Amino acid sequence: MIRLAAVLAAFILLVLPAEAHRLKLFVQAAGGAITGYGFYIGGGRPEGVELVITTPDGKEVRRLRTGSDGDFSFTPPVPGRYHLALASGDGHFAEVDVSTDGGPTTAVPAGKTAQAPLPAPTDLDARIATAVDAAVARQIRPLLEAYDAADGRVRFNDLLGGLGWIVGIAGLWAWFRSRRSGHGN
Amino acid sequence: MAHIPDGVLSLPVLAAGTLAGVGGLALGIRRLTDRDIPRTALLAAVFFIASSQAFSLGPTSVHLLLGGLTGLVLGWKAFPAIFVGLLLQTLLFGFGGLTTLGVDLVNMALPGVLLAAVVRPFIRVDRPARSAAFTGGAAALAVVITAVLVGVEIALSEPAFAPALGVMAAAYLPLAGIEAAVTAFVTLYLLKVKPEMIVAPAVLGTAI
Repeated sequence: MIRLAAVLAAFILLVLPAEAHRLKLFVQAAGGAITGYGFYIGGGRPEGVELVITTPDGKEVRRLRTGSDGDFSFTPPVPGRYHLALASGDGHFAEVDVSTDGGPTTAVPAGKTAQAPLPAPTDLDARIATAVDAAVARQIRPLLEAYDAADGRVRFNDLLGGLGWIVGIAGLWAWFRSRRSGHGN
Repeated sequence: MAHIPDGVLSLPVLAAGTLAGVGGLALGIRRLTDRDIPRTALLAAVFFIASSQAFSLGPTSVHLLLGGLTGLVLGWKAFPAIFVGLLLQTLLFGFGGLTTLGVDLVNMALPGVLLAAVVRPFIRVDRPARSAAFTGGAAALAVVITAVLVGVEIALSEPAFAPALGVMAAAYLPLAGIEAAVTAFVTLYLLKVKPEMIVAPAVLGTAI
C-alpha cells in the first residue's frame, strides 16, 4: 500500500504542471462588433468549430466557424444582447452572454442596451467617446483574457482539498460501518 | 471531455442516465465491505487527480478517464469511487454539472466495469504480458465506448450540437492509446507488487 501511495504521489507531481481542461469562450464587444476566441483551459484552441449566435429569447442570428486560432468576429445587425454558444464537436460546450454596449456581461439592464452602434462622425463628443471606448477596450483586453484564463483553472490547493474530502468520506464511511456492525470498540 | 455540462442534455436522457447511475451506485455500495473502503477511496483519489489534469494533444486537450483501471480494481464499486470524484470536480472546478452527474457517472464507470468483468478471468500472475495486453485493450475500448455514449446522448438531446464523428475520433483515439498504455503499465506493476488487487480470487488461488 505504501509503495502504491508513493507511485500515486509521483504521478501527482508528474502531472502537476498541466492544468484543467474545459472549453471556454473569451468575448469582447467593441465598436458594435463582437470578437473573441474559444480556448481550452488546459491549452489548445478549438479550430473550425461551430459558433451559434442567438438573441436572448433563443432566435438564431448567425452561425459561423472559428478560425485556425479558435477566433471569430461578428457584427450584429442591431446592437443589443446576444448569446454565444460554442460546441467543439467532441462533447465540449461553452456559452456566454454578451452585450454590444459593454464588456462580456450577463447582468446588463435591458433598457441600457439601446446605444447607437457608430455615431455620426459630425458629432465631436460622440467621436471622442467612440475613440476612448475603443482605446479602453484595447487596453483592458489582456486583463480580461488573463481573468478568463485564470477562472476555472485547477489549483493545487483545490486538488489537495479534494483528496482531503476523499480521505474524510472514507473515514466517515468506515466509522459509520464500525458503529453499525458493533465492532468499533 | 466526458464531463457533459448542465443544460445540454434533454430531460429523458437526463432521467435515464440518473436512474442508471443510481442503480450502479446502489450495486456498488451494497458490495462495499469494510475491507474495500481504503481501496475504493484510493481509486477515487486516483480518478479525481487523473481526470482533473488535462494535457494538450494536438488541436485539443485531453485528460485520462481511467474507467478501465477503476473497473478492473473495483468492479461495481467503481460507481461510488467515480461518483465521489465527479461530485468533487463539479463542486471544486465546475467540470460537468450537478444535474448531469448521473449521466457522466454512467458514461465513465459503466464501460470500464463491464469490460473489466469480461477480461478479469484472463488476468494471471504467471502471464503478465498477456494480462497487460488484455487490460490495456479493455481500457482503450472503455474510452471508445465512453466517447460513443457521450456522442449518442448529445445527439439524442440536441441534434444541433451533434458531435462531428471525425473530431470525436481525433480526440478520443489518442487518448484510448494513452489509457491503454497506462493501464497495461499499472497491471504489470500490480501483478508484481499486489496481485490480489486485480486478479480474480479464484484465478489467484490456482496460480500461486
